[in-house]
Amino acid sequence: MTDFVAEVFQNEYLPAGAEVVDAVVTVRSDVDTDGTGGADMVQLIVLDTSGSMNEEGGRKIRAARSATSAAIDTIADGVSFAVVGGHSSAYMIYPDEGLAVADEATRSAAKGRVDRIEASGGTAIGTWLQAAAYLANLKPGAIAHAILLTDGKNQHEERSVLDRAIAGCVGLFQCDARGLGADWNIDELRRVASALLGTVDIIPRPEDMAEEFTSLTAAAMGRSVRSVQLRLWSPKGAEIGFVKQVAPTLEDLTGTARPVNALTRDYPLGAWSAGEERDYHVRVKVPVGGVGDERLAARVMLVIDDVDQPAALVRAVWTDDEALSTRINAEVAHYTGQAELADAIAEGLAARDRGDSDDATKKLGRAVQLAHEAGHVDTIRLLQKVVDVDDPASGTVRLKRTVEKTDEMALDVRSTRTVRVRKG
Amino acid sequence: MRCPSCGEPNPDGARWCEACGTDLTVRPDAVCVACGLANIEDGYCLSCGYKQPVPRDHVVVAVGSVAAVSDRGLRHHHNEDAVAVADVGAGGAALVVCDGVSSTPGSDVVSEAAANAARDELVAQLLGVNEPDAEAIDKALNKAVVAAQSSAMSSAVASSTLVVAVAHPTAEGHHVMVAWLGDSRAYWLGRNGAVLLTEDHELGGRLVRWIGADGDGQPAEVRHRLVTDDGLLVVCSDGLWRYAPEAGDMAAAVRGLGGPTAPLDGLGEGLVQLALDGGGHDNISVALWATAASDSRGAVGPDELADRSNP
Repeated sequence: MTDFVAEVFQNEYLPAGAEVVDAVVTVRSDVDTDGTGGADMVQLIVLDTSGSMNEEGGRKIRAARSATSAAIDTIADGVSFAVVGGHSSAYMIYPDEGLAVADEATRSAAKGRVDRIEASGGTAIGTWLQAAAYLANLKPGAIAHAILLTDGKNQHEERSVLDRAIAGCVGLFQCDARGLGADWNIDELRRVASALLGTVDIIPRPEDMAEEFTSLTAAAMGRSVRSVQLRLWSPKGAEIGFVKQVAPTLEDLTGTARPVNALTRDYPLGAWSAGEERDYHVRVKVPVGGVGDERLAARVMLVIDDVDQPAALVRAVWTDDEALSTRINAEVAHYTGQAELADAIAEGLAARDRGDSDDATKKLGRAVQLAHEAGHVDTIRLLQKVVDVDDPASGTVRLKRTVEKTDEMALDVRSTRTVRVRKG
Repeated sequence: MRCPSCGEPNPDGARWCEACGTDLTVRPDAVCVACGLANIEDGYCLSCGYKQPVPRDHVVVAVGSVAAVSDRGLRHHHNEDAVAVADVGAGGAALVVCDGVSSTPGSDVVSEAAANAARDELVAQLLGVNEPDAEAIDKALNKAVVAAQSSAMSSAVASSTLVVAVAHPTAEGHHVMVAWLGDSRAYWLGRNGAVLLTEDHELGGRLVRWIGADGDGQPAEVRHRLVTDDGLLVVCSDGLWRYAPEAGDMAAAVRGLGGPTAPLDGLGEGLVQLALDGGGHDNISVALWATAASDSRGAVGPDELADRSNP
C-alpha cells in the first residue's frame, strides 16, 4: 500500500482586493516498502567514451571503467540493465543488444566488457539518449533510471537534435546527468536532467566518479513508486502563476502541466522512494472575494500509479484585519529566499563571465547574505571558492582573482540545491 | 435560473438547459451559494471554490419565553459569538451571550463551550425552583460564571466575553439579574424607561476583563433589578450594540421592529438585520426575553426542556 502525505503551509489571509495566493506544499511518501530492485526496474549507464576521455594520461577513462563497474555491483538481482557507450553515435557495451537481467554472471560479464572500453571520437549526446530511450522502451511500465556521464560539450550535434532526443525520452526513464571535469556545458545537462526528472551535478575529479555512480545507482534501486503526479485543481477563473519544486532542488514545473479537465492539471514528479520528502511552491491567482469570504485557491492531490490520494487545501480568506493579512508564512518566505539565492548566484556568475566586476560583487554578495540567513552551509562553502567574504551578514564580499573553473561550475550547477525550512 | 451543471442562465420555468440539456426540473441537493452550480464537496464549491455557509454562520434558537439569534456578520470569516438560552420553568429564563476574541485562535470553540456551560449550570440551579429569590438567582449566576470560566480555561490561547442573565417572575414583578465580564451588554427596555444594565470592561478600546486564556478568574460583576413594568431584556454582543449603543437607541430599534410584544425570534432577526444593514463589521448576537412572552406561556414542565439546548 502506498501513502503520500501532503501538507500545506500558507498565510490564507489576504487583504481586500488581493488575488495572489502562495503556498508551500510538503509531500512525504509513507510508502511502506523499499524498492527491492527486481523485474520491474531498469538501470541504464550511458558513458561518454569520446576521445577527450583519454586526456589526463588516461585517468578519466580508467575512472569511468571502475566507476561503471562499481555501479554494476550495486544493481540488484533481477533488475534489467545495460551499459551504453557514446561518442558521435551510441553503441552497446553490454549486453550486445537489449537488456540483461542482473545476476552474478551478467554483472561479471558486464564488468569484463567495461574493463575493455576504449575512448575515441566525438560527442553527440542526443544519439546516446535515443539509444537509452530504445532500451527503456523494451520494458514499458518499469521504473527506469539512467546515469548519463559526459566530459565534453555536445559538439557534434545541433541543439535542436539534442532537444528532440530529450523530448523523446520524457516519461520513459529518469536521468541523472553528470559532467566530468570542467569542459562540459551546464545548460545542456541541465536541460536533460530537468526534462527527465533527474539531477545534474559536476564530478570535478575522476577519482570522485566511483562514489557518485554507486550512490546514484543505490538511490535508483530504492525507488518503489513508479509514477507520481502532482494534481492541482484550481477554481474557475483562476490562473496558475507557477508550480515549482523547491526542495531538495529548485525545478520549475509550470510548463510540464498536462490538463486533466478544465480546472485540473497534472505535473509529473517521476518515481519516489520510501520516506522521500519534496516541497513545492504553488502560486495561484484567484478571482477576488469579499471581506469575510473564503475561496479554495487550489486542491493539491498526489496521484500514485493512477490512484488519487486525499487532497490538501490551499485557501484564500479575505480580511480587513491587517494583523492577519500581513503575517509572513515562514515556509513561503524561506523558499522565496532560496529562489532569490539561486537567481543571485546565476546572475552573479553571468556578470563575472562578462567582466562586470561591480555587478558580480553585488549579486554574489547578496547570495552570501541570503545563504547566511538561511543557514545554507554548503552554498556558503561553494561561494567562498569564488569570493572572499568579509561580512556574511551584510553580504560584503570581494571577487577572488583566480578561481578554479570546476569550483565556479560547482557553484553554478549546485545553485539550485535548497535547504529545507528549519522547523520550530 | 442558472443551470446547476453548466451555469448557463435559462428562462424561469425552462424544462431543459439550453446549453447542456440538463433536466432543470430535477433540483440537486445542494448548489453553490455563489455560482449556483451543483458541485459541492467537503463544504466547498468545486467549480468556483467558494466556501459554503456553515450552520454557525447564522444561528436562531427560540424556546419558551426566550429567543436568540447569532450571525457571522459581513466582514468576519467565522462566527466567534455564541448564544445559549433556556426556559428554566415557572416563567423564568436563562440567557447567555459570549463574544470570542477574534485575535485569539479557537475563540469560536471556546465561546460556544462557555455559553453552553453557563446555560447548563443555570438550568441545573434554577429548574424546578418555583419562585427563586434574588439570593438564589445571584448564587446561580455566580456558579454559571464559574462554569463558563472553567470551560474556557481549557484553551491556552482563546478568550471570550460573557454575559449571563436570568429573568424570573415573582409576586412583585420580575427579577432581572445579569453577570458579565467584558464588553457584551444587557439592556432593560421597559415601558417606564430603557436602561443599560452593564458597564463595559474596557479601557481605551481594549478589553480589561474576559474569560479564557489570561482571564482574571475573579467573580463577575452582577446587577440586579426588580422590574415592575412590562418590557424586553436584550443581551447582546458589541456587533449589535455598536449600531445602537444608548439604551434609547436600542429601544427605538425594537419599537421600529414591532415593539417588545412582537415574536421574539422575529425581533432577534430584525435586530441582527439592523447591524448587517449598518455594515455588519463584527459577529452579531442577541438574546431576548420579554415579560409578554413569559406571562402568556406560563410555566413549562421539565419534560419539554430537553430540546432547548443550543444547536
